[in-house]
Amino acid sequence: MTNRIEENAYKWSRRYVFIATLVAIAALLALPFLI
Amino acid sequence: MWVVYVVGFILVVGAYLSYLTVTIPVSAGVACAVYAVGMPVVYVRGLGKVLATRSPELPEPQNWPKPPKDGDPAVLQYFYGPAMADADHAVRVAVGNCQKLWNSGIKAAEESFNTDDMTWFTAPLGVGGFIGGLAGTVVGTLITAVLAVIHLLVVGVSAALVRATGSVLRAADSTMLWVKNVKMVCPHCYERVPYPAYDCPGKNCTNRHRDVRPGKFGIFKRRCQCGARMNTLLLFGSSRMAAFCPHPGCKRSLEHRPGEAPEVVLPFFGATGAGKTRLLFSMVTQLQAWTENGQLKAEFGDSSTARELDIASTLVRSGGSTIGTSVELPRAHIIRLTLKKGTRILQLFDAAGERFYNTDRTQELRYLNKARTFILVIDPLSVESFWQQLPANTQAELSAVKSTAPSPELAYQQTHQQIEAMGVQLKKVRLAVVFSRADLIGMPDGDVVEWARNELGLGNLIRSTTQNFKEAGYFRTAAIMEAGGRMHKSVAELMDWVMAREGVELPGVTS
Repeated sequence: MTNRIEENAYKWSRRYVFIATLVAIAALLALPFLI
Repeated sequence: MWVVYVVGFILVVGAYLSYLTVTIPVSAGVACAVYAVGMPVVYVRGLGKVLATRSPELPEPQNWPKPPKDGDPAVLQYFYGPAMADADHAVRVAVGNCQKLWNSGIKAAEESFNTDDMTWFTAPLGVGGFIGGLAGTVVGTLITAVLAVIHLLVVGVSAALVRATGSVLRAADSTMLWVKNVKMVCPHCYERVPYPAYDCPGKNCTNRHRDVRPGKFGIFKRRCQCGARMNTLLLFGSSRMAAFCPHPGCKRSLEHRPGEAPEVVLPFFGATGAGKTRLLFSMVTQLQAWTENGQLKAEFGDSSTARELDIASTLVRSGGSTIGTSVELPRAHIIRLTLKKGTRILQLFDAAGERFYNTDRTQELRYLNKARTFILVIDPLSVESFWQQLPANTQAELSAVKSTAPSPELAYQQTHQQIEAMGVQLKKVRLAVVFSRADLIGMPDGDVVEWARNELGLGNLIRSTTQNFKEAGYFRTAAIMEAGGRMHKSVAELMDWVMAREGVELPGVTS
């Protein structure tokens, strides 16, 4: 595990990457319905 | 009777075959669906654990990036390594979870053959499940790979954007410094400061950051290893932190908040006892007078300057003598000048006259090639031919203040050659030639140049300064207070000329 300071420093960047990945996956799944 | 058995057997076999025909494909289909969907779900859950929930049971990340050796004591920016390490971590977590999923399937298939009386019933389920599991794993792996690629794409695009933003911000900051003509010089080591180093503002933290600009440790802010956050650019207010010279041999404090305003380097040079320090003191006193009148704001840029120049106005007012300047390498006196049209940081270098008599000592004054305007101070009394012309009673009166140093031409030639040797094109810089002690020898009407040529016999020096420099100004100054507590107007005239060439409009002599 990374240290507490790194955990705090990366908290929002990690959340952003996770949400952006989920959004991209959802967009990919929705693609066939949109075309 | 045997016919009944045969028919019964055929019916049982047919029923079992029908059971197999249905069971195996159905269980295979279910297993295939479970694996095809389960693996991507397991991957996404792993991703969630690594990126969002950070659950404590997470295994240690492998390949975690190490901070660069000799780098600043700061936490790496997420997209400069840790994001890829997290991607790797998420894949490892997902592989581990998929392994568990696969093992549970294998175990279920094995158990379907070990159910004693019910093996005939459960074994087809196991066979179908195994076949379906294999097919589902292939499909699940492909889907998971697509998800992993999407994750990597998100990381890659974000990293590219973050790095591009960092480069744009660095360029914007450099452009801002260039537009504002901010070129920082260390007042201690005289080196150009591309960017100041800063101490961490955290409590009890002594970490020093050599280059806080956007990069691998942060774009808008960086985080010190102690956890404190720091601004990365002068644009964002990094100058409010404690600044230091970034050069390894220096590392001394830059209290004057470099980077906020253009710096004006003003070297004084001339023979020993020529009146350089007194002129400097009188210029400071004049600035203080303008400040008191509310015409500008001049303040000492650091504690060292405050300590050394605090006595300036008292000394000038009292008419007392300045103490001889130490032959040590000078540290710049820093004055922050706030005017209606902006702020300037004056760096006034007052080196001892002894430093201008030989090459080795002059060479050490590396601030000379950072200046655009120089101030040469000459004591007319030190010119022997002029001294000899003075009446005996005047000589007796002034002998105590007369400089005993060698001819002023020696200091001029030495310094002028050294400035050139330092790569300065004299045709691009200006020189103020200041004849001091006008209060003692009087201020005859007429052109200063003619007076210097005819009365002082400094024709060669005048010719050289006029020919070599872009512009030369000639002044007679009296570093004294007039009745009413005003500095002699000659000081303001000199300052007007010097600062106007640096783009600074001073209030002028009317004050």
